[in-house]
Amino acid sequence: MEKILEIHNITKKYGDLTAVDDVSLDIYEGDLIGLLGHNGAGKTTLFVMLAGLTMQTSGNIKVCGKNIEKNMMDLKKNISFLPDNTLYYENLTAKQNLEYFSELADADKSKVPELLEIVGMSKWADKKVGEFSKGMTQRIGFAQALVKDPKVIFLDEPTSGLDPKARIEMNLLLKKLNEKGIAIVISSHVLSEIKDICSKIAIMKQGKLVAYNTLENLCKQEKSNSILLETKDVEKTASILKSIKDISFFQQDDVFKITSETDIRESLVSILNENHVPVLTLEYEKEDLYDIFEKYYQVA
Amino acid sequence: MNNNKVAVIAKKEFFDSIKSKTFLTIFGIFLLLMLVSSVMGINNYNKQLDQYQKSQVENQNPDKNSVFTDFPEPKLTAVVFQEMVTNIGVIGAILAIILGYNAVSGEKERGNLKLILSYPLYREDVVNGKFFGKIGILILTLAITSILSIACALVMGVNLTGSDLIAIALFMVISTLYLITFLEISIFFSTVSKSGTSSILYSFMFWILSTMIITSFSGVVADAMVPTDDTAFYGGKISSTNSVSIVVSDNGETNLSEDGGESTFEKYQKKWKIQNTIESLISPTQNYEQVASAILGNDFVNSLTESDSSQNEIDMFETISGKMSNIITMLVWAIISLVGTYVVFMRQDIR
Repeated sequence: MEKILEIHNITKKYGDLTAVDDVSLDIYEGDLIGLLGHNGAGKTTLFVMLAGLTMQTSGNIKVCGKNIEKNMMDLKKNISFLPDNTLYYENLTAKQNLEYFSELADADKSKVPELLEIVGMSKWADKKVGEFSKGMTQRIGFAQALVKDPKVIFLDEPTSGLDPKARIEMNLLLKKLNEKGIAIVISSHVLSEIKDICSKIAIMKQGKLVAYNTLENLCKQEKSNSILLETKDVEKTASILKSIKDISFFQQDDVFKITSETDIRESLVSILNENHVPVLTLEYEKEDLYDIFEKYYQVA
Repeated sequence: MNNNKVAVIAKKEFFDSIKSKTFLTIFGIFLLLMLVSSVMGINNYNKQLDQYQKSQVENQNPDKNSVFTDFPEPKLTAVVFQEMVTNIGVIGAILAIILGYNAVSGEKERGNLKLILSYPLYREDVVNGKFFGKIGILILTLAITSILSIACALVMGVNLTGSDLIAIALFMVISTLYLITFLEISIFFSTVSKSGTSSILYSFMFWILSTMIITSFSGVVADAMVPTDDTAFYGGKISSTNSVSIVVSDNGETNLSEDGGESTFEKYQKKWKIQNTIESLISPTQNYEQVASAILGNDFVNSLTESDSSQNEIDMFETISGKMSNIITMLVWAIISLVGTYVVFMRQDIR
């Protein structure tokens, strides 16, 4: 896999505010990265820097091995950016919008019908963008992102404001583009979408990149402190658990979810054995993206 | 700068403006006013020419019973185009503001600025493209206006001489520069504002300040510096150099001397100069009106303040040289706005 973007220790400051703080990240061909973080975490600022709209205060960015400070146009040629809430030119048709962006990108205007076909907007090519729904406008945004024939696309909240059907269609479209080898970085608040379509997860908090890995590896890294216990005697088990200090638990059907600061599995099994309560299952609860995200945001 | 990208943006801006309903409405009003003033001006010119020709015949064969009349030969450009100066000064400035107020702020509001700047182009390409596209519209507007005015004159039987055409051409050049000044001011406010509403508000505030408030302000300052009894002067208060010009063109200098006396006239001259200097320092409109009127053969300020103003034939080179300070002062606003636009836009953080 070709390394497309190398981001080394970039920081962006606006006066006293550090919007992005010492972030390092490599993006490879075919990556589909979900960038998570609360509002103000620095996601959009990171995108804005990577799209060449503003320079970093420190650190460096390389695109295809070239430092962007001396080759800004190289960065802009290889990267597409789809900002959130972009309305495009409402007085122009879908086709005219894309032709304009093709001209700005020095791209071949004759590819516009093909791009409209890819995003499923051929039927509306000659309709004004002002008449489009949010979902249709977003499709034009994707087509716009493709006019440059980019190596990486940054999508800032691409599904915000879309109805469930449009979200599903959008995610399918993203997968389709990714299959062509285009690296895609999506910022979103919708964890389920990110979990479903992204191969890698990046989490930003207060300008810092606090996690960056595949979802599988992140789950392995983050050991859960919740145990799932299933026994033959539910009533007796509940009374035993009530007597144990420094744990909390709740019961769902016949399964107890027990949370503790330390590993209590061995001591728990011995107490249950002493009380003649047969244990059916005892295992750590599997972490998912929600837990991982919450965990990073709970840690000070 | 990437000329190709500038041309792409300029082309889009040009056609966007042509299709804009707001622009078309103001343009329609502007064109209508210009046509009406052309037709009225040509009628006036024909009447004045008729009177002049009659007076020439009468003067050659004097009749003892007739009152001696000596009508001056009317100057075509002065009569026909003078009303247009006011129209361009007011409606033209509004047109230029309407063209420029949303140039950058509109892109910010629609979220398109981030998008455009992520394309392989420089920031100055965006400003230059928008600027050239909109200048194209202004040139087209004035070209249509001139062609229609000239066509009206020809249809209504007026003969245009070479010097008339030169004066019209120069008038259109100076009008274009004036409109560019307001376009630039408007684009500057568009760059510093986050929304089109604030941008248009700032632009109109500048326009009102530089045309209306400054006129009153300069009058107050001139009054304070050179106190005069306004009621002694044809019974009316003089509040601007324009109203003075009408008084003088209707009545002439002879009346001034008889009614006001030498010292009063000198006081007024001094007062006019102060008022004119203050207005010229601040108001692009005032400077434009002075230069345009001089080109068309109606140099009111000079006729009031200079002792020798009896020239009939206008030397264009001399006229332009004489008004160079006005031209420069007018363009200073355009240059300040242009530089301001570049500085702000290049340094603006796009978040």
